[in-house]
Amino acid sequence: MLGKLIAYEFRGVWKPALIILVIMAVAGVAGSMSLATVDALTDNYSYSSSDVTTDLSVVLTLFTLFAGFIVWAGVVGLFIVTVVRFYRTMFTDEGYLTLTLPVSTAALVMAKYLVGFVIMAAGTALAIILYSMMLAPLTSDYGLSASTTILAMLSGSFGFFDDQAPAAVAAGAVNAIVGIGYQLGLAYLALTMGAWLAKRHKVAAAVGIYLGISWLLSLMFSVANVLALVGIGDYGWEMVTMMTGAVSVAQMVCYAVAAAACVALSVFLVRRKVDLS
Amino acid sequence: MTIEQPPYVPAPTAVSAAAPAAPLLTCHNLTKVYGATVALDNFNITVPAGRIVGLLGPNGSGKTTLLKMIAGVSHPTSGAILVNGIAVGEQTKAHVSFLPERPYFSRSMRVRDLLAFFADFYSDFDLAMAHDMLARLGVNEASACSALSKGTVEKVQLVLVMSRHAALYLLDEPIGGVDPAARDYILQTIIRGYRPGSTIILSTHLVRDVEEVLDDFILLRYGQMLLHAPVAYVTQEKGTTLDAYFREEFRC
Repeated sequence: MLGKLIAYEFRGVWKPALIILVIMAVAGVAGSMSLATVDALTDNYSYSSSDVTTDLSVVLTLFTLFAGFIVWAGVVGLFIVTVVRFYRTMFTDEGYLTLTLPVSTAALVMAKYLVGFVIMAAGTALAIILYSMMLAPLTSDYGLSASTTILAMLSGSFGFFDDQAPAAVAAGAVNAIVGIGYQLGLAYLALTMGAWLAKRHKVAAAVGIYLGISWLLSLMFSVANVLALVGIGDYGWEMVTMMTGAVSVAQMVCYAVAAAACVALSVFLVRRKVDLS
Repeated sequence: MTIEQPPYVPAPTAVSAAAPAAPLLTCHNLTKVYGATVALDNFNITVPAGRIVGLLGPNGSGKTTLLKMIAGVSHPTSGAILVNGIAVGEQTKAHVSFLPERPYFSRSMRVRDLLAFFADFYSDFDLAMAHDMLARLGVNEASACSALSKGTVEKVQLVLVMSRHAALYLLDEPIGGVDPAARDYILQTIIRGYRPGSTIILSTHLVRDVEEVLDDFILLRYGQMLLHAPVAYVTQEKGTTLDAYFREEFRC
């Protein structure tokens, strides 16, 4: 039954997800070409260049920034598409169809979670590739290829700054995956709690719960990071990297546990507490 | 509030000796509270297999709350519900066919997608029967739900629900808010879809329209059960129709 549920979930979201992914790709490619043009213009810049060249460079740079924003907004859009579908099919009138199916609540929630996760992972991977493409004209000046930029982004996301070692890159990739799982799990839990606790304005309640828990955990790890760095003293950059890496490991484990807990709690609440109105 | 019980009310019984001895539906001390509102108060009932039961009561009497809890989309505050001796959950949902009072389809879905969906998830779904009933209704299976009128969507939903060979059908206000011609179609569909051995619980406040198809009735008021008896109890013992009895009982 889980396979059928997953298939129906994909059928329900593939169209809007594909549209967003295509928009992201177009924006990313356009942004990349735009920045490459700016790079070419500035490489050949001389004091005799016309104002038109300067104006064009400014416009293209602004366009690149806009394209970068579109790529970021695409990832956010994919997140919204998946969580809106979760809410709509579970807690609105469509919930009468979903929640009367002869399948376990765990299978229902897991199918939605897995599909949402795959879509978010695809969007995030595309965004990383597009950003590395867009940055390529700049990073190539420092002898970095697009693939090296991607690796640096992944390892940097984990706290291993300036390190493209396989372990650091793998840790960064796992960290990104755990991050997606956590954000999605937390969103599902927040929506479930909103549907359970609020009589009206359930979505607003869910947004409040999501932001509250999100900020609380972020604050906790920010404090941990600061404390770790303060505690290092004068042991150099390597020690800083090691400590931020250690905090990142702890954070990743906590987020992985939190993601699993969010999904498990969502299943429990749907099964025992949430009433359809 | 004092509820006067009649001196003797014959208990609804199974339709035949061949029907299973165990009750199809049992509600035991069922209570549902929403904040300060008691929607259902210590409700007890046993419904045997093979009956068409009218769940009757004015608006706000707890009919929908009861059906939603039996269907598993709402949860009791206390008490227990058993379908075929099993607590409401994944297993019972395979045997319960629920028609809520509002459409639950995604408007972007096509009718044929709905048929495929039901056929995929319900092993008791009779696809041929659904095709036949939709053809009688004149519904194009390629149509999207958004292209159908509200009344047609409700009829499609009823067709899907009644095309299952379920043990228990829960129909929440199936004839509420539709014109008399549609009411006839809906009642005919229910009767056509009914199979001996299965039970239908049908909530409504339009008693006159359903009276003829009912075996038993349950009267609800303010979340409490006033009476659960065969329709014959009213017609023979009270010498009146169920509709007249209902109007007398709930006179404002």
